[in-house]
Parts: sequence; structure tokens; C-alpha cells
Amino acid sequence: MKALTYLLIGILSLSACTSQNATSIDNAGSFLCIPPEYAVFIGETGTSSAEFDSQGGGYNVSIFLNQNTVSQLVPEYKSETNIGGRVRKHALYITLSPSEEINQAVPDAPTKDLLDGEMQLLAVKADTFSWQVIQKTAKNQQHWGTCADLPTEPKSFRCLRDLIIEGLGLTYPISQENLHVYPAIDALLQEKVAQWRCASSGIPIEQQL
Amino acid sequence: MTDLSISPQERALLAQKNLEKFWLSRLRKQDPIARIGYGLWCKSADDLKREIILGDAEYWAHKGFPYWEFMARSTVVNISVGLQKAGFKGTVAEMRMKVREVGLEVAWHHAMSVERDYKKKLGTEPGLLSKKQISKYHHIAFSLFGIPPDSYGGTWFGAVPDNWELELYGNLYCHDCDTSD
Repeated sequence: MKALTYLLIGILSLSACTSQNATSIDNAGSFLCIPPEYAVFIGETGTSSAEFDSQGGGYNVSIFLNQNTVSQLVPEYKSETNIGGRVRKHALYITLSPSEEINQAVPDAPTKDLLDGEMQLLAVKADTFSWQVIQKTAKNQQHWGTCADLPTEPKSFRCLRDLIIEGLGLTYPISQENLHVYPAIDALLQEKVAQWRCASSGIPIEQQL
Repeated sequence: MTDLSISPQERALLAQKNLEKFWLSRLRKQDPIARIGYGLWCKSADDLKREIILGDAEYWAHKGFPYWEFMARSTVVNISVGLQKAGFKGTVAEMRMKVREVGLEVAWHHAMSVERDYKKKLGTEPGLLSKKQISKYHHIAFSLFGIPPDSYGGTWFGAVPDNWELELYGNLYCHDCDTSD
């Protein structure tokens, strides 16, 4: 019944998902069961797709939390911003990928503070559209996400935060105005992923589409 | 193989909010989604016709102007219906301006996705996006306006609108229209 009431994401490697030796218990806790009201399926319908890349883009399901839900769960989260008359809503749309698709090496390059140093986020200087952000921890530095300037007046930027939770890569957009609450968003996602782990074996997402 | 990374010129065009030239630049690199992007934001129907006639027939999927014009018009209609579902109310000119705002966000997210794909060497060709990547960034861009994800119908050009939607919003697709219409 569970397979009918939940949407399942296989986050094992394909070989593990399809292994005939894998038993129910082997797979326990290895799939994510997203309640339907928070799941967005990525369809693959349409015309010929030969001109598009046949690979890349992660899993076929995303998580969607509307802006009101997020602002209830994350204190100080701005569900809407207005920069120079440019109003934007800030729902949380979280894409899911194998962690290796989102992880990035930390370059040995000059960096600058992104936000007064308080968040320990450093922008890696680059003459490109977007720039990598790394997080300084007590022990080392690690990839945090990427950001790019927006065409706004006054100037602002938006980021894509890359978060890895037990091999699952989660990426969500975050505006400059909400950057200070990213630890709370990360914690919320940690909690949701823990809550949404399937209790028993799941069906690989390929069979759900 | 064409270099599909976001060039400094394309970055400058986005900063200037010049959608027409941004998508023309992407079109010249044969970025597949640019066929719709340019169709939406080119200055005149003749410009789109010229690009199709003089361009690589394979890149244009051996389809002519009526097809690509319909795809671009359908996209405008889908965005307009999505904005309406999100509660947006306004005059024709205000709706056009809002659709353009959506277009700017889509272009920004396209650039972001291309660059991440390029730097991380995802897929088979760096900078060339999969339909899945394109769907996802459209969902994110649409969410900034409260447009539900299903407005992007799972295809790379969006769902084909109903006849009544085309009738209601089809005239929003207009290259040289006076915004006070």
C-alpha cells in the first residue's frame, strides 16, 4: 500500500536498486518517500529530445514547499521580497541528485567575505556569470553552493545552495535576503529527509514514471 | 564542438536585461532552448524567419516559422495562464511586462544551469542541458511569481494551451507592440 500512497525516490546507486540480491531489509531507509503534496514530478514527455543532453539533471522528482509553509517553519524567513519594485515570492523548490552531481572541489583561490564573515561563507572570485561559495568550518573549507548577481537596482544576488545528506544531493535557491537563515533551512531539510525515509524497501523512481 | 559556456558578453546582456541579444547569442551557439527564447524576445517576426531560413535546418528540427512561432506564442499563453492562476491581475500592457519579468528570471536560471553543468561537466556535453534540467529551472523561475510547476507541462516548451487560452492570451505574443495597448 505504501507504494501507492507515497512517491518514492531511489537514492541507491542503480546497481543497488536493481540488484536481485537486495532484500527488503537491505533497502530499508535507503529510499525517500515524499508525501504527494510536497512532490513535483519531472515529466519526460515532448517532442524529439535528440538535441538535448540525454544525461544529467538528477532525479525525476523535486520537493516543493510553498513560501507560507517555509516561513512558518523557519523563523525570519522572508517569503516575499521587493527589490526596487521587483517583487518575488520565495517558495522552496528543492532539486534532488546523486551527491556527486552537486559536489564541487574547493579551489585554492583568493576569496572574499560574502556576508560580514558571520556565516563563514566565502565567495571564490571568478570572472564568470556565477561564483562558487565555500563554507569555512573549524576544521576545513567545503563547497556550499553557487551564486550570481541579479540585474537589480540596488544590487543583489541569489544562490543555489548545495546540501548533501547521506549521499543525497539537495539543491535549493536562496536569495541574498534569506541567506542568514540558511542553517535553519538546512536543518529543516535534514529533518524532512529523516522523516521521509521509507520504512521498508521502495520502488526505484524509474518505475513510478 | 561549440563552447556552450556563458560568455562575458552574454553575462553583460543579462545584466542589461537584453533578452533578445542574449538569446540570439545562445542561438548562434545552437543552444536548443534558444529557439524558443529568441522566438519570444526577437524584435520582429522577420528576424525569427531569417534565423530559421539561414540557420542549420537540423538545429531547427526541420520545422519552419509557423511551428516555432506557435511554440513561442504557446509559451506566452502558458505563462499568462500561470500568472492568472497565481492571482495576477492587470491590463494587457501590465501582463506583457510581467511576462517579460518571468522571461528575465528564466534567462537568469538558464545561465545559472548552463554554467553549473559546464563547470561540473554533467551529462555528455558540458553546457548542454537535459530536458530534466530545463524543467527544473523553469519550475524555480516560475515559483518566484507563484506560478505552479504544472504550468511548465513537462515538455521543454511547456504544455500546449487550450483554444480558449490561445484566444484570450495569444495577442500578448507581439514583438513590437506598444506596451500601452
